[in-house]
Amino acid sequence: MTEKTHSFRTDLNRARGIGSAKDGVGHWSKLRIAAIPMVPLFIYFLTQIDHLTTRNRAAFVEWLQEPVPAIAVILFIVCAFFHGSLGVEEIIIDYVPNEKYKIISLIVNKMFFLGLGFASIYAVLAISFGKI
Amino acid sequence: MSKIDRPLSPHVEIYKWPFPAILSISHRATGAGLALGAILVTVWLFAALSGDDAFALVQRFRESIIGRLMLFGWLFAFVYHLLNGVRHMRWDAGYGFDLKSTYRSGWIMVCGTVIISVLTWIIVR
Repeated sequence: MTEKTHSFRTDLNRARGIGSAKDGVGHWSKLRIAAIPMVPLFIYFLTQIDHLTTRNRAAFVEWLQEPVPAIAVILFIVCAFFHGSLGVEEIIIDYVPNEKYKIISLIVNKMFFLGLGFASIYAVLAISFGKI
Repeated sequence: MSKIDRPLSPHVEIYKWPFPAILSISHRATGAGLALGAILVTVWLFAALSGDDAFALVQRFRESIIGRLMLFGWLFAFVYHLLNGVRHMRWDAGYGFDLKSTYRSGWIMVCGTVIISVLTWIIVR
């Protein structure tokens, strides 16, 4: 406290060092941009509900081999999982104060969505291109 | 760091939660729940890839009571998060910030969520 009151630095100079993280707008807009396709995709999936809930694997595979369903499912995975990773990141930053656990959680979160995302896309492509 | 039991200033747990605050934390909670659903999406697609037995197993689980409860929960969370997300986008665009419209859009969102998720559930059965 005494150190600060006797500082030769001006108030403006000190405030400049404290300022914002200069980062976050990108995170904010990516979160929203990835969310927008969810609206049309949800409506599309509602029209395809019989295909999505079928018990018949052959029928499901046949549906997923069509270009539009395959692209829609891949788009859903990309947008939803990316949006999810950003959202969970926000939760971690808000609720994990310990720097070490915070960084570990952030890495685990990225790996979780990257791993599941790539695996899901692989599964869709493998089905689409007839690797069944 | 020693922890001393000093009196704390009043914090969230002693206040009656305002309606918009409940909706706000629910947005986060549904989001976190949906994030876990990523596992099931992947399992489902891999079941379809790997074979009839695996796909039948997933479908049987989905049609069990626990499976139905889980699916309805995820459907409800998805619709909630989707509609509240639209509500957020409206705020981002600069509309509906005053208290009255915040409450109104909140109720519209809640009603919409119940209606859409229940109607969808009737189709999914």
